[in-house]
Amino acid sequence: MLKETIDTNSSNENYADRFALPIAEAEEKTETTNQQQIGNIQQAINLNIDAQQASHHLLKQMNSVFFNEMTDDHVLSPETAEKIEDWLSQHSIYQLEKLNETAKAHFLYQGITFAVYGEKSGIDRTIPFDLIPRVIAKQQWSKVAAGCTQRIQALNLFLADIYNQQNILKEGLIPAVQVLSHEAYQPVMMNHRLNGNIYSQISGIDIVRDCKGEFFVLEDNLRTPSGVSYMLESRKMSQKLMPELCNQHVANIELYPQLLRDVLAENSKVDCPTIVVLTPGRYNSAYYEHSFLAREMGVPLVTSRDLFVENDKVYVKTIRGRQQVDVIYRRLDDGFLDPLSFRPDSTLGVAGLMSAYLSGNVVIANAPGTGVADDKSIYPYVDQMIAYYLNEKPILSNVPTYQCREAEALDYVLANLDQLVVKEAQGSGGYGMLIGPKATEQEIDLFKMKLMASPSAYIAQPTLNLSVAPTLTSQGIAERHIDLRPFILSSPERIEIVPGGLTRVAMQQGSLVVNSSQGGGIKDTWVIDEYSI
Amino acid sequence: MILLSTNAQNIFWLGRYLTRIQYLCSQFPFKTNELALDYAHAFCLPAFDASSLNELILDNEQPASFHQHFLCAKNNIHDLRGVISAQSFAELNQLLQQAEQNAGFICDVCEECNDVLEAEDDELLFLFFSLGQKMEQFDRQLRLNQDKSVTLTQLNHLIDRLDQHGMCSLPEVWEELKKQPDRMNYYHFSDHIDSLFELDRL
Repeated sequence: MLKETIDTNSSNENYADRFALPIAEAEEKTETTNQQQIGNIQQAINLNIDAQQASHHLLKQMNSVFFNEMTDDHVLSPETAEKIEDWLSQHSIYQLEKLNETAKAHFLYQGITFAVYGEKSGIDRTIPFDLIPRVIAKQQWSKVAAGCTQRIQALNLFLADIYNQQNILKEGLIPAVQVLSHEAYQPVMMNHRLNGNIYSQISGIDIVRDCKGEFFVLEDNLRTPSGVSYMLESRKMSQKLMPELCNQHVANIELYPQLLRDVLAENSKVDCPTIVVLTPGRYNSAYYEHSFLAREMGVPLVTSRDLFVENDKVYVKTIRGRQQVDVIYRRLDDGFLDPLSFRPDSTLGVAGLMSAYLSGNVVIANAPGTGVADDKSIYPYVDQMIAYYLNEKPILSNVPTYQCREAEALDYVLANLDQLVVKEAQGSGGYGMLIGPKATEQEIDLFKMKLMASPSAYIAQPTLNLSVAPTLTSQGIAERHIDLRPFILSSPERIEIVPGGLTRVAMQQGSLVVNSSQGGGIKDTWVIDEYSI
Repeated sequence: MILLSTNAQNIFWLGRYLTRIQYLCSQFPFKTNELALDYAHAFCLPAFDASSLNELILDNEQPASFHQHFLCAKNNIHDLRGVISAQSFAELNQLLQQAEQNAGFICDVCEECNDVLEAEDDELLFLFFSLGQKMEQFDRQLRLNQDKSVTLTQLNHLIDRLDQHGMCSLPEVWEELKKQPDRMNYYHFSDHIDSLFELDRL
């Protein structure tokens, strides 16, 4: 891997200054005469010329066995990678590292941090940011966007169905017991019609790419998907660090907060509805994102203290008196929403909220009970949902999945644990999973016992050769596995997706775990109209 | 932008805590027992001379210490994150971290926090912050029998501006305090402010 410590675009002037580093190194390493020093300078000049030539293939040098998002996508114009390469080549690795550190310092300064539950309290982490963007051709993005739109339409129809007629269950396409006994299934939502059948107004779909560049859906997130603030902050960082590159041809995402506000408003039947963001408070790991979104949308950030219910209407306490609330963008789990309907010990929710909701006097985004549709054990049925509700073929495929609740699948999984990725059906954050090829024999044996004790709690998937993107590491620019989370906004009137989404990157070599809680980082995602370059 | 009762309460108390810390900074360390005893009696603190009072103020476990007051201010700032600007929060966050890393910076940090908050755009938010500052001043002046005339004038102006922003119930109660600026009326006025923050009826 090429390491650059010399500016490769040096002019002829100030040559001695430019080559101060190699000369200094030569002096330290050897005691030389003047003649030998001149020789070393000559060597350094030759090295620089070699470095200049090599830098033009900086990204291709990675020569990866995995699909390289920057260089292997034939839909993407080669000029895109070249422009980024050129920009990178104008900086030494040291300078690039400094830029990444600038990003980290910015995140710390702005308080863009998160806490990991279980870690020592008071420790807030920044999320590692890599300045090399992940690039997607507009043509490819169109497919992803269409696939996500289709998927969310089907999932919302599924939710509307299972909470009302339950036709898909009656027809046996999905085992009724798997849905109705699911812990995220909320009986209180039965026979309650929502405006436009929109249950998940804000969704995040996790997408990966295999060694052939094919897109696959890894997971659906329909409860309280997070990360959109990092998507927006990444873009701000790219604009700050590489404005000349970023401001050309890259699809805009800055409109997301306004779009979110508009979509939330469209879910209400009230004109100019009052919208609030309901947060558990400053001790929540994603509090930064809650406050960010509230501020960017220009709506109040509230906790349970700020709300009350009277006559089945929700009010917020303002300094000028009460004001009725029409839409609540909640960042609490279902169980904490209302102590009268769910967990009685919850102090994070609002007593009577569900009564107001079921009376149609307030919209809750996302609706209670969406969790049953983003469960990993329901995920294998999404292709069938698309066919059943939309009469279409899926645009984006699922990763092949074994449901361990099925005896045959369980037998296969137990026999092939060392080759599979096994996940908790209700898990998140990358916890509770086994990555077979990387696990020790002991870890595999332990997991076998867990599987046999509770097979219905797990699903398994073959390990995909996930795509990689060039990422700045301490050893220079190297490949790292990535995924993508587009954010989809739904209302009765439309479905919107801002171009790109959040690219998460596994910062450790060979790692497949991109979750921030386990050390994963982020990249800006550029959707580039290749025909405009 | 809607100003929540809790936001108003947080910014009001932030004004009070920062003002309290700043005054303490101007007096600390207490050099004479007389001054120390005046302060301790006024604020019902368990100290009997300058040395014990100084020790109490530096004891992180004591509610009247720099540390505890600073923690309260910090909590207020974090609870206001959704309403103050991102830039202001970033500056305040930096200041808080400096003070946490070195307690000796608390006094400077509080002054700079004041500057940041006074520059906030939202006028109503600023007014409640100022109200907190002036109420703290007034409270201290009452307890220590200091001259209240300047604070009364400032409070009068503040109440006018709040009235213009719809806080219509304040002037009447304020008039009583203005007529007779004693402790009873001060507490009555203070209770009324607290009731504004609990308001959930028109």
